[in-house]
Amino acid sequence: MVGVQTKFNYAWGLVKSNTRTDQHLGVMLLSEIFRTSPERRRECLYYLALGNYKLGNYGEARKYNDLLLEKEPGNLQATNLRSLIDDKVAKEGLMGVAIVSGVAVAAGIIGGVLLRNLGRKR
Amino acid sequence: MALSGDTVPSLKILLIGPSGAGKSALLTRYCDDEFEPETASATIGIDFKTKNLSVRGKPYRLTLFDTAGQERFRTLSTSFYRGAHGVIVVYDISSRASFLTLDKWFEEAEANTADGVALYLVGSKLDKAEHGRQVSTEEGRALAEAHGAGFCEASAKTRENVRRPFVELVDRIVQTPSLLAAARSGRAPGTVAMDEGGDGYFSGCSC
Repeated sequence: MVGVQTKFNYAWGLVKSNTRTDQHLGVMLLSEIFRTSPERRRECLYYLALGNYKLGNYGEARKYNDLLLEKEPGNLQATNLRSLIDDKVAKEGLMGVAIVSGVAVAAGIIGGVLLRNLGRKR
Repeated sequence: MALSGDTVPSLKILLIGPSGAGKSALLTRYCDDEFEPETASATIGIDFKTKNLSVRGKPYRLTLFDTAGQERFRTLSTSFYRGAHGVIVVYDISSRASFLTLDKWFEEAEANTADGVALYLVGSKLDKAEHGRQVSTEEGRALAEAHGAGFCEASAKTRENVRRPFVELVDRIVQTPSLLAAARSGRAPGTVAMDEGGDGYFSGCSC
């Protein structure tokens, strides 16, 4: 049986990795530690938020980070992480709007061309 | 990795010291000029800030690693020493107990960094000097001298001496050619250069 400290060190190291599979495993281990070791919840919440942020699960990231902020409203690390998450979500939202409108414009142009061609044939 | 000549040299500096000494407060005051006494919470793992600073007319980019003082984070924190140009050790002048842990912190810093790394000792919470001081300035200075470290006392609350440790530390780094050369080449001091020639892989063994 591995000690909680060792497990946490491993999970923390995995979350810091640039490889998705590592980050995933790290997040999984952290949620185990969160359940089994209440005295570690604070750091687990923070690294669960960070890990999910790196994985692109912004909803989960925000959920964990908000739990930490609820306990420690003045925590600067959590405050900074929140603005990182918010920025990312806003950016990806804009990207989504851009893609959708891009598709709409393209469809409009193609549709217009097709209609004109149809008109000529008649 | 080839860096162009106009790249600003990057210096890596670590803040270490016992939990509650005021490492994060010092750094937040220095980087963001903010201080919030009511909301202080123990750093989780490690925090990171950057700051641009000019010393002797030359710009440097400081990457500042704010480590957690709590024991539970120490096993991994030591890995952050790699490539550090300077280390700032912080203790609380209103806590005898925090001063008494310093041998351990210096030992950790010296064991995990390259020779010649710049060290600096900061006695924090100088605003408590009149009513709550438990460590004299002389004691702090003597300990710093014993480790070849710079020294000052500072207060994040009143801003007194907040810039001084960073400026003086960078000045020391800049005057240590081996440290600065590593910063210019983008290579951390104490790391192995895989691309350097030399005497060949096996010839170093004299046994």
